[in-house]
Amino acid sequence: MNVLEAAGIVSGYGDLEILHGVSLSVGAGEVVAIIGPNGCGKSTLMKTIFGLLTPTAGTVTFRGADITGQPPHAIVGQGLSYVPQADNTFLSLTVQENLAMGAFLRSDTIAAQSAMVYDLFPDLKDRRGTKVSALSGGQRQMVAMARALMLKPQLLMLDEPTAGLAPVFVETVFKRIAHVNAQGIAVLMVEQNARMALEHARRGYVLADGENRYTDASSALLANKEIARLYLGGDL
Amino acid sequence: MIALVVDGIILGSILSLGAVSLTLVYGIVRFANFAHGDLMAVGAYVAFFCVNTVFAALDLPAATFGPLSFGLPMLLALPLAMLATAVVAVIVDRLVFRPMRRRQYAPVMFVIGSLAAAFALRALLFIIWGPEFHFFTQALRPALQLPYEIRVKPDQIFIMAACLSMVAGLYLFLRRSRLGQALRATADNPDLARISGIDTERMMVWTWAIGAAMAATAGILLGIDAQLRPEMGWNLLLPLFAAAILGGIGNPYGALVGGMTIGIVQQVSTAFLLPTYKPAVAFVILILVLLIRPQGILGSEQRGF
Repeated sequence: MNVLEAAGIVSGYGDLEILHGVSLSVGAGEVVAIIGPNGCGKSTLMKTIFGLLTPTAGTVTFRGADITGQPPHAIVGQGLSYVPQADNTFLSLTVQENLAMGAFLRSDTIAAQSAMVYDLFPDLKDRRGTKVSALSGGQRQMVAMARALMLKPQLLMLDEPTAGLAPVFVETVFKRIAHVNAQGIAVLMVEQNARMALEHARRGYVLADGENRYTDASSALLANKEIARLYLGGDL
Repeated sequence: MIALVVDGIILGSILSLGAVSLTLVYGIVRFANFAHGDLMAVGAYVAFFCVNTVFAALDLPAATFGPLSFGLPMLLALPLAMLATAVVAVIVDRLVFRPMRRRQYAPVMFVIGSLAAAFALRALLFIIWGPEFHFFTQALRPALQLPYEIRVKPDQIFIMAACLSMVAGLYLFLRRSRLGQALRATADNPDLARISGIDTERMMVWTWAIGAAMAATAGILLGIDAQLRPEMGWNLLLPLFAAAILGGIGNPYGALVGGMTIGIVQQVSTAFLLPTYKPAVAFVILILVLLIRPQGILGSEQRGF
């Protein structure tokens, strides 16, 4: 059964329509990548699924329940977590306080969940009392993911998790995503770094101009010369 | 001179409490609340109503605490006035600011809205209690004579202790409690707070309630030290903003430093200038700080506290 099902999503900002009817699904425990050129609506799709934007048409179904148009604070309690691309940490709070905010809806589980999350992100454990503003970009991205895992989500949505990171951290982020997925958590990610994203995903969606262009297993997308030329930065 | 510094610290404590709560509200609602001074006055008048009307009619024991000018009635009136002022602020938010948030008005409209609320609250005080001065008590209390010609009324020591412990209490609340951390998170990054499951509209209500309760306390302490007038809070608004900006607007710890600085400088200036120039001195300091360190003494370049 699919964890997430988005059907015929039409959405945008005010009068500006960006998505003209996009559909996608994520199976339980699956890693799915959304790729496509800049401005094709990848982030808009994420925001619409998470209730930050309200679609003008289409439905979002999470674990069989219709969550279309629900506010984020209602959605996050149902097992769906989201890490936005920018501004995805509380800079003036410590690492541990960021995690506590991630579990705001279920404060009784903070201790147990923190321990679990520090196991996934061991580098953060020593810095639990440090303000996030004092951390490097790569470490901040870890904090952002760690915060989103505090409510034991069934699906983690990541918007450009490697944007602006040094190559050494890009590798680490993908490794951590694999670790998270090994816990049985499904991952839906939007990535600029399309080739690496597909290499770490089971399936991929190619969006262009606010519409579905291709949908296939990652290996098939990676093998497709047309896609490689248009979206993966030349064929290898 | 030392005596003036001591006077300045007392004035500074009240300014600090007002400025800390002003800047706390600013940090979360993200606009300059011009009604803050008048919330102070509302608090003072509610306490006056409790002590001099309700409790007087109830025949509560009116004995004062040792050398202080007030007793049990004031101690009971304080939490009631804090609560009432919090309710007033939340009602103003419901009636004025929430509809504006829903319609996504420009920030300047919120400031104008708060100005309207300020006038309305003050007009209400005029209507109910009139323009004349009111006093919590008419009794004169002798000041303590300390070395270096320092004269302090016992009330003033209480005022200082109350202000500082309240600010310290706020600090602990913001650091240690779940609600306090969520308020800091909301001030830091409201979008991410919503994404984390924090209902930011509810945080807004808490902010108004806590900020107004602290403002009420500052107003009551000012009333104990001097007297009550409907304009008592409005007249303090500019020094409050000066203190908040001096410390770095949106930074409560900076507001504490700013409040003390303004209080001390204003009082010490009376050794060289006519007291009439006191408010001007605060602004000269403010302009100097803005020229040298525009982000304030402790800074507020980044959001959150």
